[in-house]
Amino acid sequence: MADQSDNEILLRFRVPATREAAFTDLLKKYQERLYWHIRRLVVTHEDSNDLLQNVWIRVWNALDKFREESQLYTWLYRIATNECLSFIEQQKKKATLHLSDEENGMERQLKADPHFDAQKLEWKLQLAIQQLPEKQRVVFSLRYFDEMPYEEMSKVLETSEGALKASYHHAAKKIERFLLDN
Amino acid sequence: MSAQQHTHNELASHAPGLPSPAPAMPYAVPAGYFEQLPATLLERIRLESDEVPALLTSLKEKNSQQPGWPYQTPAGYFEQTPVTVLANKATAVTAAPVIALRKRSLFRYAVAAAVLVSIFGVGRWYQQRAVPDIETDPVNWVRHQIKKESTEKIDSYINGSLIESTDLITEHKQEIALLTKDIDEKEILNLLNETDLLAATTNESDGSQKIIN
Repeated sequence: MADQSDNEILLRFRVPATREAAFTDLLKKYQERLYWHIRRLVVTHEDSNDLLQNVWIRVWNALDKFREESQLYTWLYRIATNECLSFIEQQKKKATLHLSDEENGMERQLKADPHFDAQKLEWKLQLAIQQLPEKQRVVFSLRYFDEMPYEEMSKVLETSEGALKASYHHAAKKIERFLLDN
Repeated sequence: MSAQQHTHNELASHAPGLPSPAPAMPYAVPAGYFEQLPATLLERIRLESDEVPALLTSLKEKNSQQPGWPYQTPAGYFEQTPVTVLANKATAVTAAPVIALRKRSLFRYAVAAAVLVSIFGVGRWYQQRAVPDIETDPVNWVRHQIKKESTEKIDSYINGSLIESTDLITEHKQEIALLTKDIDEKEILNLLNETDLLAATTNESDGSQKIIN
């Protein structure tokens, strides 16, 4: 059913008269899922908003060329993930230039959130996620929060299903240990 | 089995200490963010896809009509530039400082000469101080060995050599006598005269004359 709706949106997007309306429908359908995927990786709303807008601009420019070999939402997640990983890489380079630790930088931003409460499980969990390497963070986020099947994840991350299962297993163990220790 | 149940079971086996299903996200989002985002994005897209190219086109047209736009130059700048450059060039040539090359070159020569003298002096001093190498130079080795021996030993060595050479001459004399016993003395003299060997042999040592006799 969802695939059918995506196809309808794609067909309407290819017609100039209905292009903007179709794009608005697509935004409404996926914006929250993509936003939370991005937010879990980059923590602050400001960075998430910038990245989300960049993702949608890319989608607008490339949707005409989208080949329906994969599902539309897989393609959207792939764009969003790549955008986040590039952003995190840039932040790490900046942190190196300023002789500071980017991993601690993300953790610092998390703790600076006005609603942060170190005693609450949901915040502890976010803190634990920030301890993971960025690619493991993506794997854990897609599987744990979005419950994405490994088959789809392998298309998003261009990694084998076996490697993703192993990565998720290690990530879950690390987070469990962090929660037990803190 | 549903996908949700599958992920729950997987998590229970990997990390039972993790909450399942995932707890709600603790992050806050500004009020009305998701409602406004589509309109904000479409506005940005229109600007980037329509207005920006149109603006760039108009700027290009304006620039072709008025080169360098929006920058401006003082009135008559390009007409005055060649005149100004030439005037500055002429001033620069006349105002150039004169460098006293001769003084500087004499000083350089003096320094070079001092360096050369120092090098040769040190080289000569080093050469004089150098100990002859008796291991690689055979002449030096012989000199060194002779210095080590006493004069008496050297004299006795020379005398011994002379005795040995006298014995050798005696041996040769007997051999020559044996070889020339059947040859007439006159023939031998004729041969020596023809080959000028006689004159040479008369100037040689006594031993040699004995051979001829």
